[in-house]
Amino acid sequence: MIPQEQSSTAVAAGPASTAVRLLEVRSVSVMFGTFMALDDVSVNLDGGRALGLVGPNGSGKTTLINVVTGLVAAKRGKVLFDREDVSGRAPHRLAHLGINRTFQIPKPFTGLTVRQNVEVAARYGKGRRSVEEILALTRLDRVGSRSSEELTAAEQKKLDLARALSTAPRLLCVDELGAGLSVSELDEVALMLRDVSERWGIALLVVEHLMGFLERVTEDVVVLNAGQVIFEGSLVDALRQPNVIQVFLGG
Amino acid sequence: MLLEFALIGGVLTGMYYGFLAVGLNLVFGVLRFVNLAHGSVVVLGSYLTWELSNTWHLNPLLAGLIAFPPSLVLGAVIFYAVTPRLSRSADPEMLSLILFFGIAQAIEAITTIVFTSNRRALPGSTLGASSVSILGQRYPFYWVLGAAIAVPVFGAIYIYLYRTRLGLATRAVMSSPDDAASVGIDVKRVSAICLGVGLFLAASAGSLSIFIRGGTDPAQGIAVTTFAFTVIVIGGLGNPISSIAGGVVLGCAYNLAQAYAPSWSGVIPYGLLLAVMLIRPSGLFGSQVRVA
Amino acid sequence: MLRDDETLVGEIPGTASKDRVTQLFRNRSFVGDAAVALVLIGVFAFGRSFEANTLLLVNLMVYMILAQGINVSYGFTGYLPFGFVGFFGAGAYGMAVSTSKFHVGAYPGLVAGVVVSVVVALILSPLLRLRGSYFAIASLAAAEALVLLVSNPSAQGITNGAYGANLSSVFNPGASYVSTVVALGLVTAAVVWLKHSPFGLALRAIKADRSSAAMSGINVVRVRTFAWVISAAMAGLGGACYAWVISVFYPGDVFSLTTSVFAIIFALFGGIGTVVGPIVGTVVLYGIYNAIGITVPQYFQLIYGLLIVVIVLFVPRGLASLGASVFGRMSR
Repeated sequence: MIPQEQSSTAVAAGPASTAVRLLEVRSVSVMFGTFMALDDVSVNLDGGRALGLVGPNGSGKTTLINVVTGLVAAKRGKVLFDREDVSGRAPHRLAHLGINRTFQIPKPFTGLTVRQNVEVAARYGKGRRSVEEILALTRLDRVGSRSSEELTAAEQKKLDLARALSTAPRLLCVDELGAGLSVSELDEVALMLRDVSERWGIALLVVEHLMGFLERVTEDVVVLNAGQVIFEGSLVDALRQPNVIQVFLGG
Repeated sequence: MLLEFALIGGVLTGMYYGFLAVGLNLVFGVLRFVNLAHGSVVVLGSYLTWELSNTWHLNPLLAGLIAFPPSLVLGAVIFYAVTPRLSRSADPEMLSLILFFGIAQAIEAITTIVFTSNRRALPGSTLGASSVSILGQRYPFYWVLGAAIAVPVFGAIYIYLYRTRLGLATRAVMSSPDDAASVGIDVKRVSAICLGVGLFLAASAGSLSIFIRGGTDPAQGIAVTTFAFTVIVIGGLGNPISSIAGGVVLGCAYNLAQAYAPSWSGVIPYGLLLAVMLIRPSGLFGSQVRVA
Repeated sequence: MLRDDETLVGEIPGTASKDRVTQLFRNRSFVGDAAVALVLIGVFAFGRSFEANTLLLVNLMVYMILAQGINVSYGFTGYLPFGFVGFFGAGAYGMAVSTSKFHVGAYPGLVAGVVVSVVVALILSPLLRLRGSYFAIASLAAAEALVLLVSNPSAQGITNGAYGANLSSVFNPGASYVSTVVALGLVTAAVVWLKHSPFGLALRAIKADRSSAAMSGINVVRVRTFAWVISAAMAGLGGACYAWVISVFYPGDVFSLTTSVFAIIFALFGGIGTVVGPIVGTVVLYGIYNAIGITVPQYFQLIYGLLIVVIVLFVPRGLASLGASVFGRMSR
């Protein structure tokens, strides 16, 4: 392995000639009351690449995704998407720009069928993707006419992914998609993510506790602890860093 | 001195308004829903008071005490009959609201069937004195009595919440039912008791309400609930003790409007409720926002 | 690393035909709802030839309109307005004031009623930030504040205050009846559209989860405000028609909390989120009310009070859900 020079900025950034900077989180801070959830965090991601976000509970991973997808407003700092400042924009406008996400606890539209769940997002998300294609891709076609609350936990996660994909995102934030899945489901979902990312050139920002899942989707990670970035680089290197190990084992 | 009269009167009646509303706040804090039957129980308490005074020639305030056992039983019956099914439903909060609205309607109907829909009132002299002089102005005796009863009521609620084991359990359930259950607190029992105590506080507030509101009729229920809800929203939802502060704010606002713009005084509770909800949903004295 | 695209891409056999079946099924449900609307209009259009009590027919239609308004607000969007009657009263007063003070004709008066209720809805739209019971009670407070405003002595120059409204200048039993039928037709058609349109899906998505709805690209604030305005316009239209039919009324008649309560109960009993539910709920419960409620209202109140408890505990999705499950079992 070639020793990597630790860069202070981009991690999942390929050579400038092949990839374009898609997401740039610039010195973002978020406060909840007196609690500093994110403290001067910067993350960069190029189009079509994947980046893992790891760290112990409460380190700010989900908050960072919430900021990127417009559900939480940053106190300081900026979010640039496609070199455009999108800080403070409403979530639906970000969805139209091509930013989407899945939720840690998926909240499908209860009372709607699986197909209607996807239809709503396909229509309002302006993704112009075929509902049937998305359903087939996420292997939900067989349960398409079922009510979404009847799905298993794994199927609900896939439905959340299907909903996000049908808006045709260029950046997909994935919040603990693997949690609670069986080993075979994990394999299936990781493969699915990898596949859609490559096929449609979707950049992925993946929050995940399960290293096995993460390493199938991306090689690059940012490690957060107590709202701060403590490491950025490859997953393999991260696991060799004493401070990272301490956070995971000692914290 | 119109201003002085309005403010002193506002504080006196406001302390009573706190008493009128505190049961609603206790139930909201513990069970996390708005008991829309609160006002109907207040009205029921008023009718009980009228019967005691007119038919049995007893002290009307006795009604406030004898309501205790039936309230606890009613609270337990309602709680154990409805909550198991409600908690399994898709939208427990809204369904509880609608359900207690149905209970309110049933109580109102029963009140009408038993006592007819005629308005009932008791002269202030039933309570002994008719007025009291404070700083050179005379105030209705029942205003002073309302405030004088509200103080020990809030004292008792404070002692219950902060000096007893059951009160500790109650506060634990208020802050998190799951955490309370995990340390061995019988959440259901605490909730059932609190619903009963909430109903009792409503019924006993009713024995003064017949004087302070100048009479009672079965259809008043929902207006009383809205009024009490305004008090607890101003004071802070889920914090029973702060209800007295909410009551005093509403009492002063209402009395000031009565003094300077009487035709608009009726709008005060509703206007204040909307304003607080939109501008400061945690209440004027609450610190935490609870999104129910 | 992963090169089994073949299984993930490509034509999935059977997709196209399945899609067609879905389409057909959806059409069948749409056709059913549209038929319900047409039958309803037919019944009321010819209603006066088999029912002499016109006011009963009008009350039924007005409650159907209000129950559908509740359906749009609560059934589709998840907001339960206890003070829904505020829009009804606003519509009634919009009609009354425009025809008696500004001397416009009856039809512009109906439009004015709708406009007034829509304006009230827009003024109250910040309430949509509140959730659940907060919203329900806040809307009640708003309606109570509104009636005090209308009946206030200071407003007497416009609304005639507590002395009530008089529309005798436009009194026309025939035209007001027909207008109410048309209003019911419009309202029912709007609900059929909502149930079968992407907009209706968006509303139900917001009801289920706001964050997921927003991430699906739905402008949550705009969509829910629009639904709120539609719902208010329905109540306003109902109020304006009602005002025209009864011609003379007092503030308490058109701002009565009982009206809200009836509309909510009728909608819940029949089944929210459906077209037929609020209609059936109104026919059954208003029928019972008409039989026993007017002479001994307290017994009716007891019955519907207990009925609410039973609905909430045992059939939270109303009669329509019972009907659907029975029908589903039979057709299987």
